Amino acid sequence: MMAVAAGVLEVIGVTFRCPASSLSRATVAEDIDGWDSLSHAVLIMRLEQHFGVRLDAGAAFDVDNVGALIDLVAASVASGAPPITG
Amino acid sequence: MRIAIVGNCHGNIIAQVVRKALDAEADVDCRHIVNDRRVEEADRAFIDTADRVLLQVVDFKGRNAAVTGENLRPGVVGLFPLIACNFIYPFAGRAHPRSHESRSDHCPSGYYEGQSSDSVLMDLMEKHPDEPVEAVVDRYLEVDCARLVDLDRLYELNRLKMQRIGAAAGLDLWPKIERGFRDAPMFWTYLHPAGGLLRSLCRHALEQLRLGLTAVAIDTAVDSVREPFGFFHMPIHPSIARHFGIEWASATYRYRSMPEGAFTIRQFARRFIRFENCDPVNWAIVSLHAGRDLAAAIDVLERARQELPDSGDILMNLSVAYWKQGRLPEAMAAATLALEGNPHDADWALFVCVIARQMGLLQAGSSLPAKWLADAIP
Repeated sequence: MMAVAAGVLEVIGVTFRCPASSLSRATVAEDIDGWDSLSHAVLIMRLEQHFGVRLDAGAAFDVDNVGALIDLVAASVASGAPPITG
Repeated sequence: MRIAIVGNCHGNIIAQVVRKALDAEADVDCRHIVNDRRVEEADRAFIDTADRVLLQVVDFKGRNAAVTGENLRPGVVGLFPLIACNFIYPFAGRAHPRSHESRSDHCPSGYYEGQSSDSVLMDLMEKHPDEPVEAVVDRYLEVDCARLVDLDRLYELNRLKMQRIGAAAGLDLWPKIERGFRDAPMFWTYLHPAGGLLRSLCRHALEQLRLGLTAVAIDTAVDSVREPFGFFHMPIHPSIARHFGIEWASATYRYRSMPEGAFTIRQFARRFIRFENCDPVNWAIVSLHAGRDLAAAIDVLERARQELPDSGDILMNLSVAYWKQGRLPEAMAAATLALEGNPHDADWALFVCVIARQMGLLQAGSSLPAKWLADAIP
């Protein structure tokens, strides 16, 4: 779980060019410059690439904050969600 | 009647169309209000007491929008969708490092802000600060974006997002996007849809508002929407164009950047790196349309015309400036020159006709305006 959390924060940091250390589970998109409805889709895609999983897009669109996103990715990694192919 | 259109820049276009549709009714107050947590008290009060509220669906929980469907009175609320497209602009969103410093009253977002920016190009600028500009541009154009991001998955996510928004708002424009984006530009930036999509959006908005308009009144108002966001067209990276088979986005395609002109993606990248912009001309145009400093604005535009003689935007704005000063022959000369360079611009053609009428050139049997209009309106 810790590794997943660190990975998610790293990907968010790279995507929005903010230090991962400035992020917490309570961080919401509004706190981060450039994180909007559409860039959220880019973030989902990057998380999938990073972890080699395919997230449930509907659930990923519905997350409220960074903590919920970490939980979603962790569940996907743990359940062995279908990896990205091709 | 008080009407609040709550949402991003799409809402501004809708508000203009609503005002146009209700032009004859003097007691209509239609306002566009940006929906974020900084909604001012007066706007908040306007929304709370409005007879109709049209609220944009963005399908995103991460932002604390001040206005949601839940906190509005039932029976007054209609919905309209956000229309956005980031699978062709996966690297937009982060502003040029100098953008912030260029903010001003006449350019509030600054030049090369998030929508008109590319993080791949900025990364190359940072990584190769001592290379000649042209070498960085070459590197940029040689990037294979499909190796950086999963473009097909991004397309899928964009589709899902638009379909969810469409289902919630009662207008799904994704089929139109999917059918057309390879054949013609459907977005000017990832948040700025082109006229065809905007007209569908405005028709939906007018219907949602239940204003008792006739079908003809709705048609007339919707048809008045042309390309309000067409002032800046963000180039599509060649590797993305190849990936999705977007044939019109070739290396020689010229993307409009008002008021300077239109540029290929290579020219755009070069200008982006150098942070080239046309700030004095933008100041002049904003001043002109705000009715301020007309003489100074004309001076700037006349000098800009010398430097950029092919810019139709500069010529048209100069024409408007002369027209405002009552200098009709000069206005006509500038406008006809602009129209010769871009004979399919209906707005410009109509303005030429306005000047011609005021100059008494529209005598019975004259064929001049008809010719201009025929060229401009397919």
